[in-house]
Amino acid sequence: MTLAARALVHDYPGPLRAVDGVDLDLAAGELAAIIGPNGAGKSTLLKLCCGLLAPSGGEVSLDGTPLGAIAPRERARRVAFVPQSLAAVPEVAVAHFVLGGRYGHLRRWSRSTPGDLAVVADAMAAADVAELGERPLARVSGGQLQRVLIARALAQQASSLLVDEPTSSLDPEHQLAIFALLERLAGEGRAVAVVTHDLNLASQFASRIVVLQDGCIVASATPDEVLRAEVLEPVYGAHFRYGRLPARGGGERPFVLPWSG
Amino acid sequence: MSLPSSQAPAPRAGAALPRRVPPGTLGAVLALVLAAIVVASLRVGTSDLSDLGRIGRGLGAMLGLTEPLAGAEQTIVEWRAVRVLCALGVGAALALSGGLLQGVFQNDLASPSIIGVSAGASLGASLGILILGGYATVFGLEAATGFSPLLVTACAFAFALAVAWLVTALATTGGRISVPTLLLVGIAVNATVGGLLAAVHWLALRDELELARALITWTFGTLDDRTPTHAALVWAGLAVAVAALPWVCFELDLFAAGEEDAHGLGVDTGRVKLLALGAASLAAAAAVSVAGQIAFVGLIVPHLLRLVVGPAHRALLPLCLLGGPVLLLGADLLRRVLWGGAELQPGVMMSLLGGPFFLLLLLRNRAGIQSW
Repeated sequence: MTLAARALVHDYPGPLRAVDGVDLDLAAGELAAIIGPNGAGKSTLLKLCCGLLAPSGGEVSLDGTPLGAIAPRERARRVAFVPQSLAAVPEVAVAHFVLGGRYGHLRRWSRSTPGDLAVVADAMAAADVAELGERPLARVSGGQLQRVLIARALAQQASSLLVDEPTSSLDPEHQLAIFALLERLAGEGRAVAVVTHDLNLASQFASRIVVLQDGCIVASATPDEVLRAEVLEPVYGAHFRYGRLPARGGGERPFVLPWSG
Repeated sequence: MSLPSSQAPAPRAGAALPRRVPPGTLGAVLALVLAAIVVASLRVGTSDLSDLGRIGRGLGAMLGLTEPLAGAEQTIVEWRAVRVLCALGVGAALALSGGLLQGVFQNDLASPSIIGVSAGASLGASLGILILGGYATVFGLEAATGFSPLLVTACAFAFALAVAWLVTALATTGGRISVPTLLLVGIAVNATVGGLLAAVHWLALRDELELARALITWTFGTLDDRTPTHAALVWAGLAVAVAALPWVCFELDLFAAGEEDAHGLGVDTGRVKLLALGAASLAAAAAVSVAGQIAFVGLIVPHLLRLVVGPAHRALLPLCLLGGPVLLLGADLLRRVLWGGAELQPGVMMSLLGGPFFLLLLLRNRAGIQSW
């Protein structure tokens, strides 16, 4: 098991319990989509799993080692986090920003090596931002910024990749492209978890869907087992129409459409 | 979506925004300008001693290499040399402190004087002077007075660090430093520390006029009457602060997208903040304990350098070590050439320059500030 969370709890000041006793395993080669209504604790769960937040209770471990016992640089080499957005946009070119993903690999006193630059170039090509290398980060679009953030996480070469709503500001073509990329990265042996509100992208690409409600996991199963009225409607409090469409690799996958009345 | 390929063009490590001056070029220019200012500062003064040969012999005598100059000339050369050494150290320390604080707080408006670190150091230094200089016997510190310059610096450092932590803690909400809160806390802390400083001065004024004069001179910021011990102190403080740079330069670059983002990339943000704030406080404390409060060097220098070479701290912070002395020693030289010396202390001059500069920064960034 690459990443394992046990009895994970997180309280924000208030107090507000955002994550309440979550057990989650993320295996190498798996693409898990984490879904749930706003405020369900999805982003908090991802941040706990990559060490950005300290749990109020429980523990996260990477390959059996507690996350708290792993030094920050080592942690960054093993688990990468892609945020929804940045608190501030640095005044640097895109390639320079992506190079920040190599921080965990750089030795102190040493500059980036040609190897680091090659990793950055590959990561930028994989995320389809190779042509943006010299452009100031402040001058890329919202969708391009999402891809740049994924490129930087790829440059970390971590075995676990945790992605927080990567497609919220992307057009349909790039939504599909990002999920195809995440699927391919999982296929290469990484453990990938992605928080998303897009149930149909989750259905098409994820091997497992984890449903979070009020900080607790209420379902964790294949898309066929999760995208059903008895699971979704109590969680979202909304009505859906359900159908099936041919999948890329053969067979069918479920799709859902929110539908009032 | 294209597949990854090692044939994809490799990005340049230094790729940044266009039209930036290479740091090496700017460093060479600043070093040349600084050398010219140092030479001019050694030649200019109220005494008629401007012959470079004789000044060189006087400097050689200070190092024990040549015979001392005749009469008062040796004293004049030594006085000027110590003044230059102090100004170089103080300018570098203040600019470095500002560069580090702007990096930690991710804001161009942060500087040791604006967020209260200079005032904290000044209060610590004043208390140190008061206790060790005037009331040592009251506190049973007779034995300590022999080390008073060092202890005054230690007091300044302790108070500077305390203020830095206080300001950071008060301005941090949910792990994020709020810029408006930071500036408002800075105003409040500056006002409070200013009040405490006034109380200390009043206490001294009541009993010890000489002590009060020393404290007030300190508060205005001065490079007059400094001793080799002062020069050694500021350079020692600066050296320790500079020693922290390899552990914070690249890390502060990664702070640019927010502290949480840097943490996600593997930066030990707590340690980096501690090191950077400690180095900034020590540099500011060393400068303040030697020359008093000289405001705005720490604001102006990193800001202008960032405009020219970009935001990378590996270039910016070392360049502060040249830019700070150029500004402070240059302003000091200018005032001595224009007014012959005594009328305007360097601290007063820097405030007259820096206040309008700060306002200009606020006006230029008005659109961004309104969205805070």
